[in-house]
Amino acid sequence: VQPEELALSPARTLADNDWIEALFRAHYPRMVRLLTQLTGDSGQAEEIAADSFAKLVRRSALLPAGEDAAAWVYRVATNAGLDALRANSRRRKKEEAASAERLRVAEEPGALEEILSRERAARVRAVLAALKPRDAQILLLRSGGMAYREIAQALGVQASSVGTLLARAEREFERRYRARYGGEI
Amino acid sequence: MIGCWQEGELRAYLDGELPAGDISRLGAHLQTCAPCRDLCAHLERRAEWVGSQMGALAMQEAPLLGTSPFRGRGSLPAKEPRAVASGALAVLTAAAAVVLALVLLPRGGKEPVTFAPPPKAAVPTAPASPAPVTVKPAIIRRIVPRKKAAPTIRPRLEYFLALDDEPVEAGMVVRVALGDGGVPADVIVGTDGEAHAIRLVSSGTGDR
Repeated sequence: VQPEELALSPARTLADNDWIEALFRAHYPRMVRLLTQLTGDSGQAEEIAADSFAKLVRRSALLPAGEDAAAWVYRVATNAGLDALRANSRRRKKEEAASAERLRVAEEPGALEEILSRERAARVRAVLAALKPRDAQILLLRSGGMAYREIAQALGVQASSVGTLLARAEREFERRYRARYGGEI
Repeated sequence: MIGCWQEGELRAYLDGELPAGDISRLGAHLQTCAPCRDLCAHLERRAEWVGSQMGALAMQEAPLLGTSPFRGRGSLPAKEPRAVASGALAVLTAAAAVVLALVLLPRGGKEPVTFAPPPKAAVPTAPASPAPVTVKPAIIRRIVPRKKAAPTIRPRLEYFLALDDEPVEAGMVVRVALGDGGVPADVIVGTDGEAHAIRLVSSGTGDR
């Protein structure tokens, strides 16, 4: 962002953070939920979401003119979530090993369903981590129930191009999933 | 193929995200254009499949965080927390029932346990006869171990490794230190004096 693109909005001053607090109350739970789905770690999700809002507090006066603050936070948070997802690959391997361990002691009712559910989620996360960030972001935001207009704001694209981006992301997700896990659907 | 719509427009059509006029025009086009109809059906199948895959994330994490769907206003939905709360309540109720059952079991040599309706026993009214006087302190004494017994439901994720194929019907758990490093471990010693199972005590399990 070039300096000339930055604008100091009178409504967005560090002295008056009420709007940030309102934004936080409205979006923090949903953001944590999205990030929890993405990373599989609710603690890490809360940390990322909190960091994202902290960045907003620090840089609120420097948001580009016309930039939607909520969209900005979602973009920052999902980017950080994807970074964390890639960094978590070691943890995912441990989870897979733990799944094998649970198989040994799978005497409790529902244990099999839990194992299958965890493995399915781990596969989805692995594919998301391998996608381009924008593809992963759009799939995540759409699965979170965002409308095209909201996705467009979060990603900084035209609303009319969301359908194209979404179709492309879904095609790429399917291609990578099949390449990695075969025809198991 | 003249007048066919772009893939992105078809995708938006499936989500109902096109302007109303475009939706009706695209719908009319699909009635007459087999390739677009096929492409639309293909996109729909893929979108459903990807959606179901992404839904696996939500299904797995939903019990962990009962937040609302994105379109909600940030308030917690009624169903999931209630489900979690009712589950926790059921566990606590079961634990309390077990504790009460253990505490209320008659023991030899002790004073006979006189059961009185709990509400009556709990109300500190002036005793009309000697009977309530004996019941009241007994009830108070029984309430105390209920809190202490709560942690007994915790060690669920720790598993013992069997050291032989013999079933352990009775025995006791003995905390030992292994090797030079003194690694703490729990050993189940059977009535025959032999160790039948062992588990390592991880540092994260506290003082168990």
